[in-house]
Formats: sequence, C-alpha cells, structure tokens
Amino acid sequence: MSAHSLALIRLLQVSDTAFPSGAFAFSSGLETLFNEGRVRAPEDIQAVLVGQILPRWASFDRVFLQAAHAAAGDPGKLSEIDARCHLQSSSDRLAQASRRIGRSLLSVHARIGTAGAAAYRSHTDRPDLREASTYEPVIQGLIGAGLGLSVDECELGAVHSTCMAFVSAAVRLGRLGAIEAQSLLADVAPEILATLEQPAPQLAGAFSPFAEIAALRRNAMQAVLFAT
Amino acid sequence: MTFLAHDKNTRTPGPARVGIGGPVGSGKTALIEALIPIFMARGVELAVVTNDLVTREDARRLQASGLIDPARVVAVEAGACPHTVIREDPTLNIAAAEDLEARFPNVDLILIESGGDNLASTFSLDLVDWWMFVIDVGQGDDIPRKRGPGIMLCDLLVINKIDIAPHVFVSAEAILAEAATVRGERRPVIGCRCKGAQTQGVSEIADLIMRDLLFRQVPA
Repeated sequence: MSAHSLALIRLLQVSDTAFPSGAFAFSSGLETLFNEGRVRAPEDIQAVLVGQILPRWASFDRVFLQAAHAAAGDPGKLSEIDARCHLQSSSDRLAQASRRIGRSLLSVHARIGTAGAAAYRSHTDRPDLREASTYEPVIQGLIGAGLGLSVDECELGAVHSTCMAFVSAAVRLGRLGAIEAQSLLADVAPEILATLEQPAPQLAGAFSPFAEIAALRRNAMQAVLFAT
Repeated sequence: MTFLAHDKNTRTPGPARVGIGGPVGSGKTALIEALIPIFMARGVELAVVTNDLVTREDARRLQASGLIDPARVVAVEAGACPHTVIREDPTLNIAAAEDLEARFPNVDLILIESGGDNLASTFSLDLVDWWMFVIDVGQGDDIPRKRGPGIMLCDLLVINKIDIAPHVFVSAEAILAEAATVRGERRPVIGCRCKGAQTQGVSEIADLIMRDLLFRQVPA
C-alpha cells in the first residue's frame, strides 16, 4: 500500500453518503419539479441529472474546485475564489445551499483534522466573509488537496457527491426506488466519465434554467422537505 | 505523495446546546414556549433551532409568539430525514447553532428541537450536550414499556399533557411510575403540563438544565 492508496481510502471515506456534509437536505429543484408535475418518471429524473445538474457542475462548480485545489493553503487566495463564486452565483437559493454544504463540510473536516480546514474556517468566520464564502466547490478543492488527492480524484469525488445527493433526494421524495436509483446511476456513469474527460472551461458559467428556476420557485401551499 | 500535517480542531467552548426530541404532537414546541419565559426571567440568553419536517411551522410559531426575538429562532430543513439531521448528519444543525453563536455572542443556551419522529430517535453528542425526549399521555400508556432508544437514552424523559390523562383513559401516575422503572434510578423522568393557567413540571425542567448544564444556582 502506498501513500496514494491511503489518499484513495480517504476519498472513499469522504465521498460516502454516510460522511456528514448536510447535502441530504437539498434536492437542486427536484422537489418543486415533482410537486408541479414537471418531472414524473425515472427517465425524467435521469434527463434532469444529465441535462441540467451535470452540465452545471462541469461548467460552474468544477472551475472553482480546480482553482481552490491549486490555492489550498492560502486562505487569502481561497477567499478570492469564494468571492468570485459568490458574484457569479445568479440563483440566491442555490448559492445559499452551496454555502451551507460547504460550511458543513469545512466544519466536519476541521473537526477531524483535515489539513487546511481549520485555518480556512477561522479565516471565513470574519463577519464580512460569512455570507460570501465557503462555497461547496471551493471547500471540496481545499479539502481534496488537504487529503493529498490529485485534482482529478478530487473532481471524481465531487461529481459523485453531486449525483448521489440528487438521486437520493429522488428516493426520499418517493419518486424513485432504491434499486432503480442504482440502475439510473449505472446508466449515467458513461456521461459522468465523458464530463470528466472534457477540459474544464477557463471561465465559470452556468445555464441550467429548468433546475435553477425550480429551486427558486417554492409553492407555499405545499409541504417542503428540502432546502432547495 | 505526502500528507500535510493534521490540524485537528474540536468544538470550541460556547453556549450549552440542549436537544428536544419526541414524536409528532407530543408538545415539544409548547414546552419550548413554556421554558422561554422561565429562562429569560432567570437571565439566561436563549436561541432556538427548529427542525420542522415538512414546513417551517414550528419556527414561525416561535418567531410570532412574542416570547423571543424572532432573529434568535432559525429553521433547518430535515430533507425528509428527521433522524439524519440530528444524528447521522447533524452538520446543518451544527452550522445553524454556530451561526446563532456568531450573531449573538452572549447566548448561554441553544435549544434544538427535532422534527417529529419515533421512539428510535436520538441526538448526536456532536450536536448537543444534553437532550430530552418528550412523549405525551395521549399516545397510550404503553409507550414507556416499549422502551426504544429515545426513551432509554435521553438525559431527561418528559411525559407531557398529564392533565389530559383521565380524558384518554390512562393513569398519569402509572405511566410516570413505569417510565421511572424502565429508565432506572439515575435517569430522571418529569411529568409535565406546559399549557393552560396552571403549568406543571416546566420549572423543574428549567431547574435541571440550569443546575446540570449551565452550572448555575437554582432559585429555592
């Protein structure tokens, strides 16, 4: 076993759904899409994942993850990356969700001693940074570097977490069976690979209006289980 | 590949955190409403986190109650997982409590109310320092006998609505006695009525928290 194998063991640990990150409380707009009848069948769920969620991750989150991985260990640079992510986040509810997940991840990694996490948590405790920092991809990049993961491995963990969070929300909303969910994830695996094999864009940008607008639109008359 | 040095950072000292769990409708929010004025009269600075399962009803109810500054009450969505958000993955609640600590540095006590759940519900000790489980006599006189982690592991078992016992054909005394038996001598049980002109047991609950958790003198 090498140090790299140890890093992979840590990747499996932090990418597991049992790892506490708070991501289970967010559906990326799926709850609204179900409630409004715009998404009904497993095929619809897969189409949203492949057509909206994955492209958004690839063109937006991934760019900030890569930048944060390169800047790990420099809280000043990390908060500049966070600030860019903040300014480019057009959907306030998704931005808030990303900050809450990032903050949760940062807090857990600070507690378990992942290198760099406690220092960045202290840095972002400043009142002027609390509402504009700790975006999920920035924290994923910082943590991946702290665990000794390459940027590719870090991306693999991040895209896996994104897909798992989305599909597990569908299961808890009662619209997808637990086994159906695994079948769907197996079908989507080539799409995930193709996404990772494409180079990330130079500049972050996102256009996933179907899911983004759904995440913003909440019907006050209906029960709401998820934060997005 | 080398690993950077660990820089483990465990929870820093801050306000005490008390969990309040229990089934739907057992009176968790009503108990908080009854506790707030008692703590305030004793000079304890409070904040509240609620975990509504499907709405923000409990948070809104407390915010509109006039009992507490609405900014000191925050709701955390449970993502259809009332167990998870307080036990397996309490990070959103931890973040909410940390936010309250940052915004209100003088807070002494944060009450964290779980979403309505079942008898297997327990709090992570990463999240709370001490927790109580609230059941009520209307759920039947066999609830303590069923045990369950919520009833057996909590620091305090509260049996609420003891005033309605005759109307639901159960004996409050028998339920309290059986609860004390199943939990043993060292784990307290308090019978409670937190609504109406004559409350019962609420001051005792506040006394216990003041003494065991805040280490303050309890009024005679």
